[in-house]
Amino acid sequence: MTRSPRAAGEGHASDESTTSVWRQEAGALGISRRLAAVTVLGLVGCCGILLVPVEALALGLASWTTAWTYGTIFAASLLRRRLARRSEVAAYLVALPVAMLATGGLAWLQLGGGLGGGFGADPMPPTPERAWLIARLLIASTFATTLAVTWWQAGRPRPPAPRGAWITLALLVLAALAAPLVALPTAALHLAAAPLFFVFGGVLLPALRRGRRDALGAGFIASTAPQIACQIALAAGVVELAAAFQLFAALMVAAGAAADDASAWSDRRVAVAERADAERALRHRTAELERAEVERLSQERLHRQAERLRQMLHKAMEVTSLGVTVTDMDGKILYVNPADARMHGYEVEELLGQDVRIYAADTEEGAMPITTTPEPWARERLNRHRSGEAFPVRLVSDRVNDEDGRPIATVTLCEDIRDRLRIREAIERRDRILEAVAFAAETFLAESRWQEGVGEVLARLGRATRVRRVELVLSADGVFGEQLLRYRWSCTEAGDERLETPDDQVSTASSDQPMLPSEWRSALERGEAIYGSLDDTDVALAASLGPDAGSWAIVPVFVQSGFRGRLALEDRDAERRWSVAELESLRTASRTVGASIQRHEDEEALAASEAKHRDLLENAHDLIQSVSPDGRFQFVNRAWMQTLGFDDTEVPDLKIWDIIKPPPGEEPRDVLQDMLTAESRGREEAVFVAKDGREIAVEGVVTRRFVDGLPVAVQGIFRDITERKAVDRLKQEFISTVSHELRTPLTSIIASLALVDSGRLDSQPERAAELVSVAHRNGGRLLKLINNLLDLQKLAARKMTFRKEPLDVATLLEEAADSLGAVAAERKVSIEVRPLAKSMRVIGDHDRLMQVLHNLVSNAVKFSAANDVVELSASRRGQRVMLAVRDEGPGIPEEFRARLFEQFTQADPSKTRTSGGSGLGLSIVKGLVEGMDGTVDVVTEVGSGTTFMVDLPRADATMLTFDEIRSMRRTRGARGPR
Amino acid sequence: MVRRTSPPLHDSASEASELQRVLLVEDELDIQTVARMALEDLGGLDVEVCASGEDALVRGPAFRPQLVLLDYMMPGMNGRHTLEAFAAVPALAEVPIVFLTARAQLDEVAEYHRLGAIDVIIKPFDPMSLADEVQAVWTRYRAGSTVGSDA
Repeated sequence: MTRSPRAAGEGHASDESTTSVWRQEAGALGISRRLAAVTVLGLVGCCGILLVPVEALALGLASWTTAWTYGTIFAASLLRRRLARRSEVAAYLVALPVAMLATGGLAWLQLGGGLGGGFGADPMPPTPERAWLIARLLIASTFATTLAVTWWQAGRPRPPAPRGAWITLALLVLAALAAPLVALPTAALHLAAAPLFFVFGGVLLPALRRGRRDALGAGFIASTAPQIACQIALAAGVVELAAAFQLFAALMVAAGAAADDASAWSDRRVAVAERADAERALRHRTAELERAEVERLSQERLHRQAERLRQMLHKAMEVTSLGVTVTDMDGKILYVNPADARMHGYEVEELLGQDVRIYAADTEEGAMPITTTPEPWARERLNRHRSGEAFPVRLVSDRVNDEDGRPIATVTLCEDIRDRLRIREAIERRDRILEAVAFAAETFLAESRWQEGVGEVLARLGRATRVRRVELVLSADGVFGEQLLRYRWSCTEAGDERLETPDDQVSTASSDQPMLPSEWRSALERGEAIYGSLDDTDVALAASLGPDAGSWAIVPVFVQSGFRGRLALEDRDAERRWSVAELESLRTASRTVGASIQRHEDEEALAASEAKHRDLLENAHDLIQSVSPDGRFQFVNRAWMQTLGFDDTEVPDLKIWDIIKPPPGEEPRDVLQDMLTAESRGREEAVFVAKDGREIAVEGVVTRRFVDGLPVAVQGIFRDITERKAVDRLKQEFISTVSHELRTPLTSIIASLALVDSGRLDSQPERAAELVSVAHRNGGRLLKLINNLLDLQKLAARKMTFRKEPLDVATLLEEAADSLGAVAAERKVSIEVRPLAKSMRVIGDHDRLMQVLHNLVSNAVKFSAANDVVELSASRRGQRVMLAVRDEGPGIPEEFRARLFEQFTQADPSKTRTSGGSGLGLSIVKGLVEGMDGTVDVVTEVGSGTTFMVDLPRADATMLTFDEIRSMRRTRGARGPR
Repeated sequence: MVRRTSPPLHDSASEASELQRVLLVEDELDIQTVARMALEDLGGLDVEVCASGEDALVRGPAFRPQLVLLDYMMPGMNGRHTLEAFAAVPALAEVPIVFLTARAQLDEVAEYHRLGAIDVIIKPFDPMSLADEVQAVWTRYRAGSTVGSDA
């Protein structure tokens, strides 16, 4: 087999390449042309067969030819993989049954006497036995053929997508199986033969393509000859023989297919082996060539890279700011880069060949060191510029050795580190300043009184910025007037620090320095910083600064956006330039000062406000409380605690329901609920329960405080109205009593006069007279009551006037005794006036004093039993005189003594009726005596009597008038009569 | 405490319907005088006067009053105490009581009714019509108690 494009393809035993081979094969053979030829041949054959005299044979030939033709076309399509298209599969699936129908139809025509009866009857009468025999033979032969074809297809490389072929095969099998169902044996034979030829045609075509014409011929003869024999036997009526030939034909087809396949396969194997050898040799050669090429390329690349690297290094040396020096072991400069030369003030050419010690600074111990250690080293030192100036450098040096390890040169890198040192110093200074500022913030925020930390803050700022003076000037009142607060830290050259505070400078604060120039001040007010030095500023401007200020930086201090002062750094050095860091730090420090002043002022204002409100609450006479929703007390004032009797330590444990008496029918805890939920009802009354169980009636206003719609506190302001209620009750009682006291005599008067007036008693003059005397008596009683009431009213309103006259005591007593003599006699009581040891006089109003004595004596008589004695006496007590009225009555009960001198009070009300008293007497006595600058007192013992004592000023003792006495009393703040 | 104030059932109809015997408890002598005149001479009633509650308790039962005129402000037992003490005396317990007093503010009058008094006559009274007034009170009381006993 010659070398062809197929050869390379067969080396790869894959389905794909096989497919391509098949395709090429098909193309090479010109399938379509041959196909047309075969088709034409088939049709011609069909036509020729019509000439064959034996109809059965002719028909058989025709049908076989048709089937064969279709088989060929099918195979060709398979070769081109045209079957992959569904439409073509469908075409062939239609074509095959058509072929079979055509064959069967012809057989039917042949046997069934179609075509006008031109054909003879079936030579084989259809007996069941024969039919069965034929059927079995047909099945066997069909299976044999099918198996052979299947084996052939499975055993060789075949195109993919064989599904169409498999379907076709299945249909062939079905057709073969269906054949026996045809009743006529002849027709059945034809039907069976048709697929056979179909397959055969498909097998033959590849053989033909590969030039196996022998196989083609042999196959054709081997399969067609037994068929022809079969037909002849059939025609002769020997059906068994026909069937035997048919079976033989099938075997032949199978054998032909097998033979074709075997030979084709061996051919292909040989070709594949040859091609594989050739390919191996080619690959080997190609690999050799490639290796050689790679080698060559890499060598070239290395060379180029080395060259480029050298150029780059050279460039780097030229452009770097690092100085590079290469010296031999004796210290002679072999190479120096431009940076190094420039750094030291030389040209490169000047240095080459020089001793490297040319760099050594005067202060340095000696030469540029020649490295003796094998290790690289680095150090900082001073180098000398050509001008002689020394400057700091950082050196890194290493040795270069030859192949044997001997040092041949020293490479030294030299870096000018002046800038770096400057930056480092600036950073350090900034850090110090920041530290000082941080300290300031911390101090001011921590100290409640910011003034206490200010000295240390200024000192730290000064040390950090290394200035001579730091000054903080503030105006106490927000205006730069006379009142300046000046804090000043200063440091002498020797390092002695000094701190001045406003306290030290009281006398000098406003006088030792001129005011800040107005242009500086307005700049500060705008929030600008002022900095500069004497070099660039008008000396006059700087006059306001310290005496030796050379340069300065001043920033404003703002408190709540109001200009309040300045923070200044001053240095003697006029060359000093202020860094951004210094100015910013200064600003931060001033802001911190401003913030702390503001905080301080806010706190003070808050504290003052709180104290004011707290004082108001604490000192209020009302009871003030704030209750949280859980019933605890958030706040109570002093009056609250005093009234309820609790102290500071007990209040936290109290709940509102502990101290408030619930309204009838409510639980104690409902009280709080009412307070929390009820609408505000304005003034409310409640009853508090004190610690000792006392009930205290209060009246007040309850308000609720809400946050986010929820009550957080119930606040109440209450007033103790216990006393007011008591007063109300007393007032009510007084009115009731007065009303009664007025009505009672009026009843007698009106009734008796009405009776007299009615005329009903005209016939009884003695009864009328009695009634008139009743009216008269009660009229007098009424008058007395009214007079008493008027006296009381006058006393209460302090409108009663008292004359001041010296009165003889003995006369007074006698007069009083006489005025009541009749009444006493009526009660069988005797009134005795004890003789005075010495005559004495008091100062008073005669009528008022008589009223007093009359009252007391009449009281004493009233409470005396028959045969008792009422004794009147007087005695001197220094500058005073004491008048006494003593009785032997029942005495005044203990519980009553306290209210003795109040209005409408009587130990035994029954005495009022029997003696006509109103209960006003003693209160009037008290008022009258006090009106005369006297006092009234009582000594009593139940069962043995009572003594009332009236103490009055002695007339001989004083020449003061009553008015004078009154004014004196008023000055002393004593309370007058009620 | 509320007194039961229906008239005694054992009294005859004529006795019960006609007011004859009135007990006056009053401490003021002058008022005793004018009241007695008004009730006895003008009203034709049979009047017994007691000067105090204590006196009324002693002498009252024998008199078998049909109605009591009671002062309030009295020494010793006041009107209230007296009224309460009557409840313990069988002959007086059922007798209707009318307060005759000068202590007559609104709340005080209300208190008398609460105590069980059937009415209040305020001092100063008109002596010419006092007896008629007492009769009217009696009539109203009878009518009210008859209705009360029917129910």
